[in-house]
Amino acid sequence: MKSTYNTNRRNFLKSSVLAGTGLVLANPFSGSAMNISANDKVNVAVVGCGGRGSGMIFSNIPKIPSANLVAVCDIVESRRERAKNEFNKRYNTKVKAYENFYEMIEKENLDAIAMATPDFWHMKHAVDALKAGIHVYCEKAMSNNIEDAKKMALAQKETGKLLQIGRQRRSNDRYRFTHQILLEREKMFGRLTHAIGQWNRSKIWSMKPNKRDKLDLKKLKQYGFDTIDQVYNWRNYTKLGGGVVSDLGSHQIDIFNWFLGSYPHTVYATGNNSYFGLEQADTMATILEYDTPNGPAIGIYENISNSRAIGVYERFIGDDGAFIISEGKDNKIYRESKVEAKAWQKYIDKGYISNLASMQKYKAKESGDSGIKETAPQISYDINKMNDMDKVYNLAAHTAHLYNFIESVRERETLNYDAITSYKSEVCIYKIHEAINAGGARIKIDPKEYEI
Amino acid sequence: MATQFYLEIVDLDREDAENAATLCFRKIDELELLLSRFVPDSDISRINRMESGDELMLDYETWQVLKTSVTIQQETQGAFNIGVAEYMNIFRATKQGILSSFEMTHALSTAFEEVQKSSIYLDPESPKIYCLHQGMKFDLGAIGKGFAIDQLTILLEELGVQNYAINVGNSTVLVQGKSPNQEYWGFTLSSSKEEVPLELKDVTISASGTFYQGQHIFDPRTGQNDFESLYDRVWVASKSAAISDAYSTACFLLDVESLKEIVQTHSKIDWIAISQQGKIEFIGQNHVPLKQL
Repeated sequence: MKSTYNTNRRNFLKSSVLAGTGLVLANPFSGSAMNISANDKVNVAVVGCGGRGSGMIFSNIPKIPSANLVAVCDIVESRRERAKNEFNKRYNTKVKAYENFYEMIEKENLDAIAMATPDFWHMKHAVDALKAGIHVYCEKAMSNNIEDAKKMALAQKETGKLLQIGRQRRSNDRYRFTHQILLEREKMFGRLTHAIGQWNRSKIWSMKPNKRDKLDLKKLKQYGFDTIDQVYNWRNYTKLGGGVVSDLGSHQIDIFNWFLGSYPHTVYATGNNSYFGLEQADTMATILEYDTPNGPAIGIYENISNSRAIGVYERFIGDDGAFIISEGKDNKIYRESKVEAKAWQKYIDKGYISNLASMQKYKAKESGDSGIKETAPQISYDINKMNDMDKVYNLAAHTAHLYNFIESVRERETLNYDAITSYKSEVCIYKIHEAINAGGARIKIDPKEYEI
Repeated sequence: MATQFYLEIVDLDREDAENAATLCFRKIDELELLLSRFVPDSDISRINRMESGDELMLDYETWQVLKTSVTIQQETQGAFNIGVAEYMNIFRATKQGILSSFEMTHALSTAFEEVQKSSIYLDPESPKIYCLHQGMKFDLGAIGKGFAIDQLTILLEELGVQNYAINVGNSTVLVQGKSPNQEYWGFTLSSSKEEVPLELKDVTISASGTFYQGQHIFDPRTGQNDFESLYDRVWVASKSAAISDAYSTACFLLDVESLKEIVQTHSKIDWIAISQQGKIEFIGQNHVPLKQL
């Protein structure tokens, strides 16, 4: 992690004479260097040990030196026991497992909790934890209804405790670099006029219970589930989750809002469940109208759940250039033809972007003269080095987002995405819901509705 | 991973089989995001951006596949080496018309010199990697598919699935337990002149060659792909898909004597087969779990 890098250690690595070994299995240091005392670590518990919770436990937390996992919590015994046992085995720890959230926060000396439970549980656990003096990282969406989302944002404001919402792109280095350097500082793309996005996938993941889970329906009902299927596929039920707009669209529409520096004043949306016939819409499309600080802009967004065609990415169009950005393979920057190549040379010189697939260094002559031959491909640009940033996490986005939260608890950073910021994006998501539920409507959003 | 995964599950009802398959494909997606060098946020992409003096914490699975890679690199004296990404970038850029063939030759030499100077340390005790001298970029194309199959095997065992086959682009095939109608799984090794049907059980077979993808294999020991291979195709059988996958690429670069030695000394390699001028030959069937029909 560059921002907290131990300088002596880095200098040792840089000045080491151990050149030319290739890839070897060895530690260049005799002991562990980045020691953070136990007292300085954040005691954290993970609530919900399903897919995202497992990601927190096994992919995110082990990469955060200042995070100390002390407990996991899940109503499904096999999930919590597997998480506890596997983590303790891998990292020689003594993590405990709980079924009951309140028993856990009572018994454990927690600084923070990270929640990856179904949306309908978020508000109660988050608000109760904040009031108990515990900082909260909560997976998005904040809730499955606007009233509960507002209660969460208010609880953050009233308690002064931290509440970060898990839209991890807000801590993704490339998204942050694009926003902070390319858009805000360099204004590289001119005025952004369109934001277009989609999250297309070939199916809605519906899970069957694992046979080892031995679920007791009577007990599940105490936790708000009517059927066993609801435990595994809660996203498909309107009383438990928010459907594709909340689960997927909210990630991307939040990026529209962030990059455009504005929130929509009007949404048009429609959707239906015509393909899978589940409670939630499997197909939706929306248009969002913005008055940005630089002029009007339009957002266009769709979800398709029966084809992966076109995939998952956001595309922004400006008068001087355009870009595609994603957490997958689709990332590219394009210069508008009216902008001369030499106008963008400064961005190459600063190391921000590269062209020719980073092959310029191997070219004997200027680009465009590699000998006369068949047609060369269109030249586009890639993000190169994220220079001049306030900080670069150099961590996968989910880890970086949780890292930012943990370091904020330690008062080393401030939250990249607190509940009050998140609430604004959730407002337009709930307005899209409203439009879809009205059979396809145009809804105006009063600016006051975004306020807490 | 730029390929297709086929999963065949036996002895489960349709719903359970679909559920297992769903979990497997989800796992493949997760591994792709972690291990693909074409995904900028992957562990491998971040390793490839490391500069001298940098260190990184890795995901557990990235650490596992890298440790296996280093072991196989040592066992094969560098015939297998994941530090070939820059050669492949240069080759690809030439195919796209970005570099001329003249520039490619010079670029490959430059990249090879950089790799020779590089030092990357993978911590054997914890999931960390250190870049002492930059210059090497990783590509897991020769082991990633096999590693993914091994991860799916762990997952399927957890789910209680006992009889299944995983076929990745017909180049790596794992068979476990029984096939739908028999005690074994039938697969064929084929060359331009021969077909050898096999009865297989509890093993992975990986193939390497240049027939379909052209001269895409770089010799890590020279940084070049213009070598004359002794074989049209090589097959390696192992219980571990990561090992069969990686060794099939390494064996493509080794002579027959070396292959015999590998079969005799490597406890995890069951057998190796080669095709030379269309003739298929098995090397050292001393462990032979296969029956040739």
